[in-house]
Amino acid sequence: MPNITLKFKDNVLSRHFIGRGQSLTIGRRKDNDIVIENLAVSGHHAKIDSVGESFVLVDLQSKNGSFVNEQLVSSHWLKDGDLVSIGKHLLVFSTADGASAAAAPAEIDKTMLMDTSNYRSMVQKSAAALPKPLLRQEDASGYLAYLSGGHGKLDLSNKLIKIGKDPTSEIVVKGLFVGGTAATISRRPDGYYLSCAGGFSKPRVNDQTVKKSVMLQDLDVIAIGSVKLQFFIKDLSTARSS
Amino acid sequence: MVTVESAGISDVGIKRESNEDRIVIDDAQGLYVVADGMGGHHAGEVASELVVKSICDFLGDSGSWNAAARPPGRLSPRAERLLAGIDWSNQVVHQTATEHDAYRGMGSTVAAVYFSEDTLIAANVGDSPIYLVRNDKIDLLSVPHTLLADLPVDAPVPFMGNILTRAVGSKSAVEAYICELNCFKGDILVICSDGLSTKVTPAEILAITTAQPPATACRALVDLANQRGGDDNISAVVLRVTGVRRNPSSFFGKWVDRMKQRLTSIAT
Repeated sequence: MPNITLKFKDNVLSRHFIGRGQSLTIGRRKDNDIVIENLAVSGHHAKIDSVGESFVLVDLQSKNGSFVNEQLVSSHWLKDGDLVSIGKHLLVFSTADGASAAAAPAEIDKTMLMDTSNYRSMVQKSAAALPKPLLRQEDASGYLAYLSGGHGKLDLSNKLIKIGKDPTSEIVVKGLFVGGTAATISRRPDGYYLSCAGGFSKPRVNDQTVKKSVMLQDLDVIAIGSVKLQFFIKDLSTARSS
Repeated sequence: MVTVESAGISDVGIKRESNEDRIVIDDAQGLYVVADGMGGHHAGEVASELVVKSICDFLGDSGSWNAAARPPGRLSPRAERLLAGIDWSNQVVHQTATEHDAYRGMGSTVAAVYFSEDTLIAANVGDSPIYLVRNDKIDLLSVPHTLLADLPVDAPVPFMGNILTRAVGSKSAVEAYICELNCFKGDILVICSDGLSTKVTPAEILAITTAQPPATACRALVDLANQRGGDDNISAVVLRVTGVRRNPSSFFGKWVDRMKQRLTSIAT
């Protein structure tokens, strides 16, 4: 299957399949098939079209140009292994058949039958067995607000939030005994959890020292080193219905 | 560095003729996957096979992983990477399904656990659950993408409630659920297919996995599901975190590390 691998400094960022009759657009703006978030890349920078058996790269009069194997091109017929440079990103074109394990599909000689009564009891059993998420993902989102040691608030997404002395932490905390990452906050299916991560100064939630991890409740107060934060949960479902 | 003791079994069960589940246990990459394929005849096997193969290929095709090289995203670089791997596997399965009539409509669930330096990342599409056992409690780290789960909590259980609302390969794009959390020594993770989770309750999984090491716990879980009918393929991956070494970055932490080294050098 022909595909394009987007790389940045040897790191694979994403891979995109391109089939016959398809085209892929490349650019900085979100409506492209391959989005490259870099100011050196034009909004709509280039595209790859399928022509017959082959694929052609066309530069869309981009500001900084498109390069194939270090040659500036306005259009180029892609060959296996071609390296397309756009800004500082690299796109590798491959015709590899590696993923086409489906060489000779077996005939389907029977249709799937569902044993409905069995099915229904399984459904009920699995409903009882699975812990229900307390808050549905789309219905709630949490945020942190500083009580002391800083100001403003921080919305919590699915990203792991790091709290600690390391300057790259989302919440930077001062203190001799505070770890580079002292605590983290993660979003799990049933809510937000604060975990202790390292260092000698342990995080506290409502004045209770956290040794491993604890689920955060609305209005919980988190204290680490010089920083005190309050956790809030916005229940979007009640906000919508009221 | 997270070190893990791992075990996994994929069993055909009693009622089915073929195994459409696939598992990955890759200690070198810190990657563990369960994929439960669906589709007529052999298509389910093809779908789950393509999923595990393409994810492993994608994540193995690395180069040096440099967190700073990525633009600041909404997730950690390693979590983004796992999502990109699932996205790629979706494209591979979807494309194969559109190219071959026999494979039309095939798809697969995916439930993956991927370790970073000191965290674990859990991602899933479909109804193969990922459980975390910690502090004698069992929690779900995955979100079931089923009709049932998408209904309000108090709604009556519908007919065919566990029909999947999302699967890898059924559409041209898929959105996986993902979460990342800190990892602790003693954490136990269980990734399984619904052939296990519909037969064995979370409380039983908790009891079995805390009482014995991963390899025998895995066997016990699969045997229990088979005793209760073995209606579907049964896959279980059990992981026990045996150690988490965090980078000491506080002044005091570095000092303690130096002292420890000095003590061990004196002792030897």
